[in-house]
Amino acid sequence: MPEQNQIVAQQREAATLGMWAFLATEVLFFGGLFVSYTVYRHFYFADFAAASRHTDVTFGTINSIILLTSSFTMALAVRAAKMASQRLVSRHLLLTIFLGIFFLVIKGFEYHKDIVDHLIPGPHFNAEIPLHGQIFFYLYWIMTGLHGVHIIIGLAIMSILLGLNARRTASLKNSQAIELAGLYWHFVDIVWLYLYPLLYLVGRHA
Amino acid sequence: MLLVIWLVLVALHFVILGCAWFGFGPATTPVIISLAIIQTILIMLYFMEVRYAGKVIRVFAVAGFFWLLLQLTLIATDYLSRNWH
Amino acid sequence: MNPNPVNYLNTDYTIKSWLLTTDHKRIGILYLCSILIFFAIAVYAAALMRLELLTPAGDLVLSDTYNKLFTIHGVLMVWFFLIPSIPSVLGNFLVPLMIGARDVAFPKLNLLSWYLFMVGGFFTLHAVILGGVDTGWTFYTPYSSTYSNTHVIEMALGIFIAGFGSILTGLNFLITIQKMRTPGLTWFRLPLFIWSMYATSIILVLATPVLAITLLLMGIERIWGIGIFNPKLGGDPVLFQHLFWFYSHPAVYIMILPGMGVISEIIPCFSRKKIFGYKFVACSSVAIAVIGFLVWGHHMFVSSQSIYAGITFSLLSFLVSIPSAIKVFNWTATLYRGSISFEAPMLYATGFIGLFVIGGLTGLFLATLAVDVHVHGTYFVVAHFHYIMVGGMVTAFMGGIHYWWPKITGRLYPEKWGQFSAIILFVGFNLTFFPQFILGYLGMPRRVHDYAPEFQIYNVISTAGATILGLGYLLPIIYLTWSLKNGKRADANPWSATGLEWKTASPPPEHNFAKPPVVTEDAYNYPPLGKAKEAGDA
Repeated sequence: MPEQNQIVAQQREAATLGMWAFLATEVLFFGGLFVSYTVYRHFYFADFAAASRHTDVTFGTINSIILLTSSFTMALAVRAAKMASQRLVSRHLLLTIFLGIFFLVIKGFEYHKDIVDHLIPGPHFNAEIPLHGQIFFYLYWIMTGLHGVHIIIGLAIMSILLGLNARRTASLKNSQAIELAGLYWHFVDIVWLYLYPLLYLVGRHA
Repeated sequence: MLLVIWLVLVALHFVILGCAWFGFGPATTPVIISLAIIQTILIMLYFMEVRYAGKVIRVFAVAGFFWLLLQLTLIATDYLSRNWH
Repeated sequence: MNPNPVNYLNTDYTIKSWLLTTDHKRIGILYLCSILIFFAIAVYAAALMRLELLTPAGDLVLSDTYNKLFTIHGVLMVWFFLIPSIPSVLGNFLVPLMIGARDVAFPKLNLLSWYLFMVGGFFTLHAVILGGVDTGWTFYTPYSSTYSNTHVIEMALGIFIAGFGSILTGLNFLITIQKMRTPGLTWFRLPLFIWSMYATSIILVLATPVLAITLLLMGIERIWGIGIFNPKLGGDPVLFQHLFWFYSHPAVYIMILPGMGVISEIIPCFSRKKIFGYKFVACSSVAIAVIGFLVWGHHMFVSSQSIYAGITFSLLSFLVSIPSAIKVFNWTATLYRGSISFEAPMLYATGFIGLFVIGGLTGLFLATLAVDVHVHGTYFVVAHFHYIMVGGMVTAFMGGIHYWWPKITGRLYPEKWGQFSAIILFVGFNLTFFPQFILGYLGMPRRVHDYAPEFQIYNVISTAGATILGLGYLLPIIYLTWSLKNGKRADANPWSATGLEWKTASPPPEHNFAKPPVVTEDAYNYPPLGKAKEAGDA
């Protein structure tokens, strides 16, 4: 039925556009944090650099590579879904989930190290860091924390899709769900692309 | 194609790390952020398939970033001019 | 003919069929019932404040109680009445009907929006029951994050959750209008209400997340005990104001643009004329939405914001008056030589134009840096924004409810009562709020429960006016409820109006249209009344 096909096509377009609109809200949600960061970096330039030197650049760099790679595998999963290859979709989704978990594990080790180093703002804050470094670390925890929450949500969505994909043969509807999850996952990756230089790199060369 | 983009992204990543390490004085942060913007554009164009998308999706994709830029610019008018006399 | 054809109201009567509905029309009704509850509570808080202000001494409530009253009033009115009023009630009901769609793009998300709204409302009311909040609806730091001893977290959480409801509503409308228009309904054939809902949705989607992150930062700062808005650490409380007003100023346009859309529907219908300058009215909605994002700093002229930023924001604020004025001029030009009749919706609409003009022009005073320094934080500001929000938005909401009442319920409201209460509302409103301009200009500060004796006369007038205004709200609730059972049955198009929503039955069937209507003409193709009659007779 041509009319029915038209409705399905319309719904597909609507869902994709809806996802993009949602991502625009996410940009502005994280945007508040980036704006705050920019303002205080302008105020306390040197303190931010000094504080940033206490983050662990090795963990940060490894995690960046992991996320970039997971974006790549996600893009492969989306492409496989379009070609309706159930086996490839499963494989790439699984890889992406694995990389996401890997990211969280490393982040966990990093958080542990941060706590041991007294990098939590408050009365027991690391004495080597100047006072306004606390603002840096306040933002560090909230930014990476919210980003982590987004990673966890992404992992949950992908796990559900993986389950669905295993049970039913790859359908058109399924492929769109994977495409939308992909858009979300790439966005989470993009956020990290800015967290990484702003949190880990600003004080490195001085 | 996706593989090439991935390789470019990772390569750019090490360029960013290098820039941050050796530094360009006050230009360092703008330089590394510009490189991150290039990474973003690559991801959006190829991984998120904006390249193949219609006009409306392109507008939606840019809108969030554009509005964030408006917010930053206008807030900057306050913080940059606070100490003028 | 069957007097009771199947429609969205009589398909199913169970409570479950309402609570789990994905029908945009039923969700609109759910919103209508819930916002009326919040409205009633907020009105009650306002009534107590007006009573307190009858006498200069603070003799009815303690100053602490008064602080909580204006906070409750502001929070409930802004987030739980005004923002969802026209968008979530009339918008939900009308957007799909007006564009010839079966439903919104994401019906389940639409229901989720309502649940988020209700959960947010629950937390907010819970905070009120626990003892209230005294920060004012603006939650300025460091008072909210450090010093206030009230239930800030709970109320902020409520607003945070309800905020996601409005994001989803905005997203739904954006996509619906973008993708679901019926064949032939091109952008410049859309009803102007749709244009204003599109503009409103842009704001809902792009501004609300900033409020969410701002409240989150404030809340974490309150729980954690340290944060970035606290001067002790070198934080800047003014940054909170920047982020807060980046949402809350555009939110003001969430609270007026939909009203403008309603007026643009009513005016042509009761003037029997095509709207004057359709494209200008349409584009001015989008212009208001965009420019509205660039002016928030005018709330902060007397904070420690840089004076140069103040000048920038002042100039940008003047810019918003251009698209707003374009609308007013076009409405007035539409009236010119029209065959005007004053049914209740039209009375509300003409009232709107007058009140909006006063509210808008006094806005220009406030956008002028030097004048604002004088009247900032006085009743002048209170009067100004009530002229926009109550005089503008609530009047438009009432007008819209009357105009589409036959479509929503299938019954006509009693016309004489409608006209009577529209006039009561107009008189009551002006009596309440016009004296506040004078009070503010003379220097009476807002948010205080006692004041200098020389201000008493204006406060007495204002309180007396509020009583009349209250009657103006009470009457429609009574006769509209009465009309649900006793009103005359409405046919599909009781106003002989154009627009797709009038082409289906009243009330509409579950999926709006038997098959997608095809649009072949521009909006508001009104023949003069005589011709319509002839066409109807033929």
